[in-house]
Amino acid sequence: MLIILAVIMLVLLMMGYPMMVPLAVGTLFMMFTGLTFFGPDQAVTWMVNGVGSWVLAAVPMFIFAADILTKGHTANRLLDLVDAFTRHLRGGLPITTAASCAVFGAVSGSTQATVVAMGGPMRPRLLAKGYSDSFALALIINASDIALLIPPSIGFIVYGVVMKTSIGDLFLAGILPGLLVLLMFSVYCWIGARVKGIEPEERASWGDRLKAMRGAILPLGFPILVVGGIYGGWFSAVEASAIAVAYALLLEVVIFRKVSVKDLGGLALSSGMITAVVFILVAIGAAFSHTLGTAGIPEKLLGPAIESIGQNQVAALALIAVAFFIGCMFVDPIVVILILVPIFKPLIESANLDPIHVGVIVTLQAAIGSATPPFGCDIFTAIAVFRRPYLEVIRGTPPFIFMLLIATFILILFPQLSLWLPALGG
Amino acid sequence: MMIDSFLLALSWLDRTLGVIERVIIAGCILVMALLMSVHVVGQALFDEGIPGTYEVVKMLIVVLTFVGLGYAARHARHIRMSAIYEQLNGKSRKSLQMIICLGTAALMFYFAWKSGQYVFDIQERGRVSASLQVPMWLVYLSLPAGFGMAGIQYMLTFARNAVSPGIWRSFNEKETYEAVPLAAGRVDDQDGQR
Repeated sequence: MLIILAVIMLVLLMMGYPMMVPLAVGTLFMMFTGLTFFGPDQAVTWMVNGVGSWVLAAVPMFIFAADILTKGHTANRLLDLVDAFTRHLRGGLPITTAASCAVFGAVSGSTQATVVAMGGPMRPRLLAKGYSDSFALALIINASDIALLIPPSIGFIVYGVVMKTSIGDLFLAGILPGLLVLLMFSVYCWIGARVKGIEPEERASWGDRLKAMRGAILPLGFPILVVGGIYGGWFSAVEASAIAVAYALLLEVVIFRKVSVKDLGGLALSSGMITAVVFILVAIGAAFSHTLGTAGIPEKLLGPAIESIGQNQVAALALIAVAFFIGCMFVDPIVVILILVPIFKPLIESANLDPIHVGVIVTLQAAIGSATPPFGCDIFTAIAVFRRPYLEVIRGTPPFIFMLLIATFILILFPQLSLWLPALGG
Repeated sequence: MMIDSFLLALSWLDRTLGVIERVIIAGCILVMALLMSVHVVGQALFDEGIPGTYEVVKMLIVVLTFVGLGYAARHARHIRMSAIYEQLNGKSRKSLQMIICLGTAALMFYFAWKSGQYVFDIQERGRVSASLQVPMWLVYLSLPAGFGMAGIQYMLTFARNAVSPGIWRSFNEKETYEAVPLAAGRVDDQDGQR
């Protein structure tokens, strides 16, 4: 019966049905075949309860803040700041790109917004400097994925809701792994520029640097408010999201005046639709995961693995990482989190893993999978945004995927990398 | 003549519903943003937030999700794994699109019916929210409305593909043959806001 369930869901997915359909049909299949005692009426209740949650309010708020900032001045000011300090290094331009993506990720929390806001201005500069387009595209896609690890991150919010764990702690836990990935990318860019003999740009004068710093001081208030507020225990992740919107409005509407009050309706509609597209998956995903749980499927699926793995945490983490990596190669990370987290919950509990650490590993896999062929969704974002053919977009990705896999190994072996900051903050 | 005016009335109705959906979605976000930021700032500065904020925000999320379900269907914005679909061309692509629309519409109508029963049930029991005493069936009305609207949009897309030449991803939007598969992935914005 389980095999039939998996085949039906996979076929619907591959046919190109909207992703809510395989989730809903899977749920109904389990109900109609008697795998669970509950019927479709209960599915509706689970859907409503799945989205009727205060914590989820952080998602539309961070998306709205990101939309306001993407339209406004903030992206350019952050880029100027990073540029002023890194452009004279060898491989300075790609390093600037990677670092700017990470910094903008700290403000926006959306990979897609980061690809557009940072990739847009940086790609032509990289090409002009002599870097190949496939390298530039791969760098932009993968560096934007650092935004998934740097708070605020939509992936962390959805994981926190499904796993019922602290989103504030997840935010703090993602910072060091995000910086580790940034460091690895920077080293790769430095070596690449050396090998190709690409000359660095002229060093920015201290006058330029001061000017860039002055320009970026207000936008940099974001990470300070969001991370500092959560770290200092002043507010929760949801409260931080409300503050982020208020701050974005203050900055772009009142101070920089790049966004007018009239624009806000259109921006709210755009943010609302992106939110709804994610939340309908969360709603149906909640019905799916409850049905899965009441049917006892996670235990049936992972029973043998749980027995053989026992308390071996490294093996358990490796299994989780592989499953999420493969899942995200094919399907949107949010859907993978909604389906796989409930399945792996018994293993996480039996191996006594820290759910926060697992959340970071899972999100890192989401980042890698989204940029990995054949179907990683960021590849398609780049195809749509930069209008380049599929093969050119994926040609440069292998070295980045390799580095991200090394980062996964490091994280599995050294959980302190993710757990140190939350422990310090808590 | 009769058919023409019927179609005209139908498209007027469709446009009006579209405007209502837009107002509700944007309104939910704006109200949520205002309410939450005033609440949080009030709590931080004066130790006092706006009573009922949690409740209203939770209700707004439910409304946003299900009204947005219909609106996203209208603009063909639901996330799908379209890699195989994009390899197809001409008739086979159009047929697959029609099968997808029909199947999705059937599922949406099924959930519209089920959630309609749920709303009826909640209304009969007279359930109200804990602190503001809002009748919950009013909020949950967004479920049958959203599922129903999504079902109608997928049916309309099916019908459009059946009667008009070319491939349509929604009732009003034709697929354009470009080197770039805009329907793939998540960037697929007709409003041009990203």
